[in-house]
Amino acid sequence: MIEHIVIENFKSFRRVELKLGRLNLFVGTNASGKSNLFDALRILQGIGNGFTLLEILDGKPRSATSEVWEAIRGGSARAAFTTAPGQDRLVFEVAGRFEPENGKRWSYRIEFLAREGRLCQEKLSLDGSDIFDSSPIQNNPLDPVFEVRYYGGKKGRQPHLKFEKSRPVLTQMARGGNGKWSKAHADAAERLARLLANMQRIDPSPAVLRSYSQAHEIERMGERGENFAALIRTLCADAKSKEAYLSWLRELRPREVNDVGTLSGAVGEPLFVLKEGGREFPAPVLSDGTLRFAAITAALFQPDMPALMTIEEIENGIHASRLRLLVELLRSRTAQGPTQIMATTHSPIVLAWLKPEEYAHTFFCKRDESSGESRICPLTEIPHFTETIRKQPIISDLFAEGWLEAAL
Amino acid sequence: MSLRVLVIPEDPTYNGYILKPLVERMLAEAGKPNARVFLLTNPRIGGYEQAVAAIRRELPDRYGHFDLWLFLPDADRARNLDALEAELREKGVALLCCAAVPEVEAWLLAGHRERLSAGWADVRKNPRMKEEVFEPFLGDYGDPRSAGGGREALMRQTLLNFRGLLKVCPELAGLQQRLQEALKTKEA
Repeated sequence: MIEHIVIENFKSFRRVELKLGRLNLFVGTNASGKSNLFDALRILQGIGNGFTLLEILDGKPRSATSEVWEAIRGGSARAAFTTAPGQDRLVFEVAGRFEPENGKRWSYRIEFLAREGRLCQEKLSLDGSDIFDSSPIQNNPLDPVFEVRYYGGKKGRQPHLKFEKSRPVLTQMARGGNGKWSKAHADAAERLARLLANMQRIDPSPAVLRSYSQAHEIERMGERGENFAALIRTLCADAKSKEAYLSWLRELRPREVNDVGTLSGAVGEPLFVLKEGGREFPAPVLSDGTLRFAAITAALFQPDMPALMTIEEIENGIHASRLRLLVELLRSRTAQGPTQIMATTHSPIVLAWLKPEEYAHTFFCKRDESSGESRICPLTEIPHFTETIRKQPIISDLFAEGWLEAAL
Repeated sequence: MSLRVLVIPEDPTYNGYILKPLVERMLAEAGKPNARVFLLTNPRIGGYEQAVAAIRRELPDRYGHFDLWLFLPDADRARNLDALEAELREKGVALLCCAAVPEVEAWLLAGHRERLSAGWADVRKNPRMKEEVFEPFLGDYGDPRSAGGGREALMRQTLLNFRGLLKVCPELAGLQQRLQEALKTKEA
């Protein structure tokens, strides 16, 4: 889990630092920086995937080993907050711990020039001890290699290791070094790379959810809901998972939903179906809201859960009186599973159903009109928030009337 | 128009999984299978005192047009419910109150008595029933992945033996009786 993140000079962020929990909600007006934060997370995902820095920012076509990687909005040319030549150095720093087995703490920092796609600094630590760090070395910008000091050599020796300058050292180290660095360090780098790569964006499109899945059974669906029905087929194969999944749908449409399943197409390809009162309602006739809720819920029951899941505007298409259920679903799944969730919302009702202990990981995003700089602040650190909410415990009103914006 | 019933819990977050299907079943037994049951979620109630305050002040304006209100708190803090019913009657609201002994969770447990480590009489007397009996039971038999941590599925099982539930929870049998009478009065 990522417990701490620092982003500098990226998009609308001059500098932002967040302490994260399992369930993190981001609220704020349009263009306040919420999506830019999610773009920062995608950069970390690209780092974990082992792409070059320019591939991460500008996109990458499908290859034998990877799917299409879409460019970060604006690409390398618009990635930096300060866009002057030579000042487009982006900084990302993350820290957390591995789970569940040994819980070792890790921290990782990378700095690179956006337009050139060239590393400036990089550092990896495990349990407080550095594995590698480039900062003690003066790297020549014109040199095609990038050197780091390696702290895993024999006693007293801290050899310099050379890597490609166009891609993160982290994933280069993860591939193993033919004896230049220890297997334990290659494993730690690989583990962190996998954690960063293991992010899933969920933005289900009703049009996609209404169609037949190409796969027959899968353990993780696509970002737009691709293979949703195949995931349902997988869930339904296990009676307990099916019952748990169905219990949430029943709450969404009480006294209506009896069962859930799939219909088969000409070659057995699945289509999502709800059964209500003995009648079958296949995906094409279901409402956008029902399908979206069914898909988000299914994503939270995937047998192959990501380390981090992002969901933008979770309330889309879901009736206001059912948002309580959505909050409970997110809370319940993050409390039990290994997945960390980052979600945005514009709904005061979603906020109304949060528990006070969740305010520390509910973040208000605001963009300064004159500087264009975004700030992200946990509710608990907004001036006067804690005492105000104690006296008038209606957080939804504070949000809807613009109190939070005015207070920050 | 179908009958509209407002259910007022002490805490909608988890009590709703028990109370809503229970009330729907009671209404069905009283000849109103199509009644629309609304669980009060706004204002968000957080305890007995808040619930009573809302019943007295905000709710009559907002939900006064509903056919029936049911206030179903835990018995440990419930006081003067008859007076509250009379007070609301004067405002034109048909309110029935029923305090769960000792707490609402007992109504779910009533269908699973053979799985409990304590005898039913002891469960009903235990002032810490939620912590000492219900939560361990939910941990053992509820699927934490399910809605309400398993309450929804377990309550459906309890309702499979509705007569048995009324038998071991006499306050519910009393409520069923009063519910039927109230519906008859309304129809008359």
